[in-house]
Amino acid sequence: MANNSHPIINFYFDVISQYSFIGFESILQYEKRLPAKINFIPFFLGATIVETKNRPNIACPAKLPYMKQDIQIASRYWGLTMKWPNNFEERIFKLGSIKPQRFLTALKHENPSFLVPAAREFASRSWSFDLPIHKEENIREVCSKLEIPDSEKLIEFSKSDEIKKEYQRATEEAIESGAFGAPWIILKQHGKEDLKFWGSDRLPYICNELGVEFKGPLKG
Amino acid sequence: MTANKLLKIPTFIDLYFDVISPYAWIGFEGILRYKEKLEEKNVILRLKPFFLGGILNLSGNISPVMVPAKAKYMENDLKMVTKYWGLKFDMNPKFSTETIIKQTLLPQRFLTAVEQHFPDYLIPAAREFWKRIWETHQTIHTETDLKEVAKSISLSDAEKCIELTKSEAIKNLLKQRTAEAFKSGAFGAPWFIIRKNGKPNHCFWGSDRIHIILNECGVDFIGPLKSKI
Repeated sequence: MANNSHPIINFYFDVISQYSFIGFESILQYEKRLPAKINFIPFFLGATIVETKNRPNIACPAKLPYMKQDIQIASRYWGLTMKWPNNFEERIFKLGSIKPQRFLTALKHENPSFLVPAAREFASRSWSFDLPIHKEENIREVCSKLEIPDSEKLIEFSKSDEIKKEYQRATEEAIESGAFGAPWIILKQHGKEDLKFWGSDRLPYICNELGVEFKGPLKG
Repeated sequence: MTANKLLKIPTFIDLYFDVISPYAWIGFEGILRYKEKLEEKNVILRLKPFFLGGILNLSGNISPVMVPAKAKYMENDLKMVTKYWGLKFDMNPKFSTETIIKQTLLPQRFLTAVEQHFPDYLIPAAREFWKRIWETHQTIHTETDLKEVAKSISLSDAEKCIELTKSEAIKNLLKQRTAEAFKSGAFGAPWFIIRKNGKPNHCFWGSDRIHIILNECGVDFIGPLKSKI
């Protein structure tokens, strides 16, 4: 709940989405400037697309070459290194991100200070370094790199009904609020209607709503 | 322009737009606010009417209003975005059921004719179509509508422009621009192409890349510049 002085930004993301990654990194650049608490919420993009009878980007063939170029330019703008992976379609349609996303949900529950670093690590493995993220051993690699404590317990917990239900609940919450894609951002301010933003390039509007000047990338 | 700029080949930003698209309207208005700042960097903006219906057919893409959650999102998004840019917006209840169905072949041919023969009237004419859709909720697809648009912007030779919409030259130019945009990768509107001499083209889709487009041209994005309205 937002109170008088503290707006809330609910940032729904799935590491399967490059635009989620860009949106995530760009809003983190502004985290200290935005007078709002940002809640990063893992949600299931694939299920959201199916549920809303939307289509994934690449169902339209012309969008794929555009995406390759757009991601290059947008990531360069924000100071991110992104590399188009060799198995893009396989990642999206076959390998997916359910295991890491459920792991991130467990992390949010048990050790939230690691949520952002772990999400960043999964996303950059996929989208900067062309490394896999879909297997349990990949989750262990991330835990080891970030020195996440009690990682085995967390991995077990991520497979529990409780976490599966929580991941589903967060996804349904996003869909109910109007989500059909990622990233999906809700700005909650006391006394005002919730504002919703889809995509990685809405920061100028979000800043404007919060009375903050948008100054482009703040990295480096 | 300084002598330096006269010698240097300008960079062009080609904006392909169709009045059927509210986001094309936003992109159009947004980039126009920065026209002078772009010109200071030897970047010339060229406005090119094209036919979005044709682009959707060619690319196999679908209008966002076909996905109910997107249609709902669009209404609130347009309220917020038009407020940001200082544009008057009132949701048109007939947008999905009438405006989109009736298509914009005639208005886009009209704008092509205006762009070719009365270029100073292109911006007011496009704006008048968007006003009819998003403020006064009037139709835009008939010849009577074209006459009303011409009258509103004091374009005296409306008859000539309407005749031109039936000419092979204007029909072909609209087709050619649509094909040109599609060939460059377009699947929606607005579609921006930055053409820098000696460098590969960069294309951008949508109205929320203006800060990145400006950055590519060496111009800082400093908000909606409402003082320019």
